[in-house]
Amino acid sequence: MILEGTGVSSGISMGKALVLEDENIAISKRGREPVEEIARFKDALGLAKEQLNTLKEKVAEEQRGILEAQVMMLEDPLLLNQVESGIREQSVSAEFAVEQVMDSFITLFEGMTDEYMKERSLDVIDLKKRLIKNLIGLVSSLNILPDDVIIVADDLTPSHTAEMDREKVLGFVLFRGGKTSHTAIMARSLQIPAVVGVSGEIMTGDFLAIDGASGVIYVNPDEETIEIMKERRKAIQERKLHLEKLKGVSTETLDGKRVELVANIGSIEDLEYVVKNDAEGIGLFRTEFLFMNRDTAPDEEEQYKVYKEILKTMAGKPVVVRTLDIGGDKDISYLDLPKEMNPFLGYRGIRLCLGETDLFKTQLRALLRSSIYGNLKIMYPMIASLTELQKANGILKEVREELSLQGLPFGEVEVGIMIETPAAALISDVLAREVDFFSIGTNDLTQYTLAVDRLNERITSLYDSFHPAVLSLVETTIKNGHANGIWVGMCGEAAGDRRMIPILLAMGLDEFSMNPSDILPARELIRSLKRDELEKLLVKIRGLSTGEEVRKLIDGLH
Amino acid sequence: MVKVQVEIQLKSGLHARPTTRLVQEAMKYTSEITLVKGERSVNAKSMMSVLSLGATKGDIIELEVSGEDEDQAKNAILDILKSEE
Repeated sequence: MILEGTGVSSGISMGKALVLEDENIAISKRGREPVEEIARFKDALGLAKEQLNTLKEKVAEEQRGILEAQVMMLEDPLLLNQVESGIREQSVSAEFAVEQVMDSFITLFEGMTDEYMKERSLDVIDLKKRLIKNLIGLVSSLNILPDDVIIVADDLTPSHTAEMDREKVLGFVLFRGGKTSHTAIMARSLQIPAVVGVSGEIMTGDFLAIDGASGVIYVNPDEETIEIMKERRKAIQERKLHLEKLKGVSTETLDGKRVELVANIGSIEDLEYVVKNDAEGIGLFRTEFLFMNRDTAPDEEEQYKVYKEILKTMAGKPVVVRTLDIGGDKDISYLDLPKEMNPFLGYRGIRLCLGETDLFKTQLRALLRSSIYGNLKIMYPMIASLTELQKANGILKEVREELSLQGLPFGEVEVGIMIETPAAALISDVLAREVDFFSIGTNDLTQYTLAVDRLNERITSLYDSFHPAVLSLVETTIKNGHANGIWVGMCGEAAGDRRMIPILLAMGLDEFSMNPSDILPARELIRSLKRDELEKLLVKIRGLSTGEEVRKLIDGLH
Repeated sequence: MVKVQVEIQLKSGLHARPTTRLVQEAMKYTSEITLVKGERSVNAKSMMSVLSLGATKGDIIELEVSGEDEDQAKNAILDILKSEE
């Protein structure tokens, strides 16, 4: 069977599917062949033991006894026999048989007079849940994955991906999401093949061969297909080796125009990929992840340590840190933000920072204090007016004064803004006077300019960074930045797009910030381009009226 | 086959922890090991079954073991049932 989706992180990978499902999944009674179901049950059992043994190491003595008892329950021959014969005799799924057998034990314990024994039913309930979760692939903690797997899910939350054992993940297949969804971005930075927006059915245990570039997924492919995919994987490997040779080489066009190729990161863990791909700095450190999946905001010390480590690792190369950009798709329990009808047009980004000044000040203090360890640049997100920028700069000034009074050292720091609202692009001439740099966030800029929700699958085709309106705003921003003597970068997905790079070079963009894995291919491309030809190209593009026309023109070049 | 009656000395009876020990021990032997309490008789290698006996301190349990290593198995299980913790 062949399924199709959108390839969002290139590469070929082959392996068994592990389907993650929602918490309250209904168990299907119907199973496959009993032999297969019994094998699934045994896998789930083995995994459960492994999980419990891992857990055992982490808990107090008191709980360890309970977990040991649970392991023994899993080794109970009665349980094994009853589940196996249940599957065989009724031809049901392993989940169904497990539930049946475990429920009978639960009833048995619940009916006992001894209070302590009654409570043992809780252990059995616990085990039942664990087994069923393992069977349907809802691994409660992704840090204990069974084997090398291709993760299949509706969508993954940042906490899923954060705790995941990355070593064991061969690929991602998501039924939802687009090119700019969290998982897609993460997969690219980890260089794990990923396909999103897939429709069709995949079951845990299916053998998948996925092509993260074309978005094609082969479910239980034949030998021939596997061979072809292996060949292709080899070709990709060879290409990788070729790109290796571009490490340490200057990023400049054939006629000597140098630009900066830097990386987008979301956590300290990503630094590895920054270094591996020879990024010339960091063009966007999204600090949100520091604030997510926790009960309280990170304090100054914690943040300071993170920023310091990044700056030290980058050893003097530029590091642009974006201040907290929360809202919209991100849920932060301790901020207790009310649900909004239009979170992307709501209380988020700099609006939230200016509202929660304690949070903002703490971050700025940590940033400024860390600045003595490298080349730090601070960037505010989602600016839409001069007033917001001035307020943010006012707070930054206060923080600087406070630090001076306390005698805490901090360095010279460039301050810039994201250009991601059409408003900011249009008044970039005014904004440029108050900052040291611009960084164009094309993901949001495209979404806001075209009024297209980038997470809405039904209108993904309308989301188009090549739309002349978006290109015009980008060009305006670059022009206004340069007219005021500041540098202009881009940290949206478009900056790493092979078709967009020639246009951006022609417009004079100074800094391209992208996922680490896009850096070497981008360097290769830039080194093959010539400025006078690009300028001619830009003149033509200015005369085009749709995104399709622009793309077609670019495709004609290669 | 060997058969022996024993009064449980375990302070908390056959609760999770001692039962875990007992089942782990029972699994080491190839013999069939059965615990009988009143009318119920259960396989000593089945955690769920042993727990479900709900045996407490002072209960009289009949231990039946049959197989090649029945003597060693009997002694090992008896030791656990007669211990206090």
